[in-house]
Amino acid sequence: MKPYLAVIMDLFRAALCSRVLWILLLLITCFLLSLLPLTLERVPYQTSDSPTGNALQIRYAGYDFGPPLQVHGRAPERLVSFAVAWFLDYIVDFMVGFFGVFIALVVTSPIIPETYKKGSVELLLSKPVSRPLLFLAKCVGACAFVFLNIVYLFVGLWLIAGLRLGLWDVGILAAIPVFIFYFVIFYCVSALAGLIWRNAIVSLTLALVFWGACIVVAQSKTVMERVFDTEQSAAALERENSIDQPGREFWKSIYRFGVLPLYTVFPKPLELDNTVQYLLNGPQDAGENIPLHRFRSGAVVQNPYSPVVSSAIFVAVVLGIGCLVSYRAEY
Amino acid sequence: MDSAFAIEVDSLGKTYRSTLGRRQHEALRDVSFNVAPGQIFGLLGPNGAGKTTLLKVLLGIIRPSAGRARILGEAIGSSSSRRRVGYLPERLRVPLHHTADSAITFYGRLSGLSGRASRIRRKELLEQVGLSDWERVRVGKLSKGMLQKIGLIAALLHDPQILILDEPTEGLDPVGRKQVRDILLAAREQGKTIFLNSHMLLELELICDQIAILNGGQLRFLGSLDAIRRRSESARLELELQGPETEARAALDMYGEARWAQLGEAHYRVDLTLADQLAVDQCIDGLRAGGISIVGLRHHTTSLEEAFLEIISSEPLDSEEKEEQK
Repeated sequence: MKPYLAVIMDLFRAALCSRVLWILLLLITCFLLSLLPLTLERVPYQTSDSPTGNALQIRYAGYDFGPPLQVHGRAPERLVSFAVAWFLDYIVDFMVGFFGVFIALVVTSPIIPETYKKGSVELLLSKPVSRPLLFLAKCVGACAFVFLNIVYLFVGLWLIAGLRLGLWDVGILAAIPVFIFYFVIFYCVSALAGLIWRNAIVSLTLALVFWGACIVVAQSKTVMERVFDTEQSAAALERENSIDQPGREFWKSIYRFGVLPLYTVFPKPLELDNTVQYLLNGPQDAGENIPLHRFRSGAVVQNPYSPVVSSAIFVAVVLGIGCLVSYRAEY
Repeated sequence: MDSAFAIEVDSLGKTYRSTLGRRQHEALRDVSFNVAPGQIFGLLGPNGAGKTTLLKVLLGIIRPSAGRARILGEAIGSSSSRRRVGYLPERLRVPLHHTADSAITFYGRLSGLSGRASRIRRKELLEQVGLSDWERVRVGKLSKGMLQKIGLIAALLHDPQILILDEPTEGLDPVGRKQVRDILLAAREQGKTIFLNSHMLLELELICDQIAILNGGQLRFLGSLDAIRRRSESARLELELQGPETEARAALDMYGEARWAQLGEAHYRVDLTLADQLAVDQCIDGLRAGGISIVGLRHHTTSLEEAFLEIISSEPLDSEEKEEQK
């Protein structure tokens, strides 16, 4: 294992020397400091249909941040879980999940292409190291580098949520492995592209395109399933009125032969949140009590483990292809 | 597994194919030779001759399309064979975050050396190449020659039995070249086999025991430098003769085609090529015995470089020649 540990340690050395690690840690610190003025306050909220409701007012440095968030039909004690969900959904999931993964991909995308550049790869491959393990060591190194930053970020978020907002929730810390897994899903694509084309820009672009494709496929599936459900209930009425919808069969074919197979094969990063909630709150709460994706149409999965399993299979397959490519490649 | 040879190459071929297989380039064709242990073996050839391809095949970086090769009796590319080889690539590119010190340690660790072992050996080697004062300097600030020396140290660090060096003196000043030569000669003294790839004939001339010349992916020459020197000793002779033409022609007839020019009555200039000094002596003896006066004699010798150029433009070795030269 000594040579592979040396490869992983070398990545950290490279990060320290190129100041990437320090810049990232500084950015994370700035982000955490920017969250310090954030407060959540319980305020009475009155509407015509709910005269004595409870609401959460988000304040930033004493200023109201939008209208209060009303919690319809919920007991006051559920406000905390609502606040946690809001924090997880907006701060952790959206801001960190989206921008964090993007930055992590940008920072790590040159690792594999740099390793396999002419002049450096020959010397590496002349050493008694296994090519697949060298590739995997580089991937592990990239993930370890991201992990270091993420632990700092999420522990900081957890402390801010607890100290400033009174939301001591383990869900924030549970987001660490989820975030890493989320990153790994796209990084393995970036690593494979970097191995084949040995170009950091191609590697990053393909990872981002794939990320977009995953979102498009998942959203298309959700939308199509909703439309088809509506159609089924309307089918009887259509038959009675003999109304023909010529495009329907076409879209069903697209769903059956395009969207559904892709959805099955692709990882399901958007659904990983639900799995975490299932693990944290039990089956009755998954996708129900905690209003994750309230304002985004994320699909609620029937089987909470299926996104993890299918994503893990995808990662394993892509890394397996990477190992095969690195084994067979000639430099 | 041990073998009588440090490196065995048997009918090795390598064809590069484009992704769709439409275009192909035969970089190596039917290359065979053996390198005895403890030798400094030089691989010579012009740019694009297939030298680096051959080196990469021996290191297992690329796979041969035909034939086979073994290093110390092990299949090329196996982990055990790579453990016994130190390699210096042609265009060494050390990641810029390294200092001289950390780069050597990193490559040492990849070779399976412990931190302590590499520290001891590193110090000794840095001193040997005169880089002790530069160990803490980032590689980006080192000159090309210094970087080349760092690469050489990285190749030597784990005390390999075979050194495969691709243009090791490239970019070095005369002092640096001498230091590298001394290191290689010392390594030979320790019984290491050194496989050198270079296009600098004069550089190889100083240290190599055996030489292979490659051109167009094919072996053009295999043998000692003395054999090339013998070729270079072939002389073009310009003779100015006086005497009966029939006698002179009879004396020179056995030495192949000669160019004759008449300078006056019974006065000629003759150009002919002779294999070596022995042939020159015999030719002159023959002329004198025939009663021919040698009025003038100019001896044009072929330089080592001319011999090399002649070899690379010659036909590839056939199997009989290969056996003979082996």
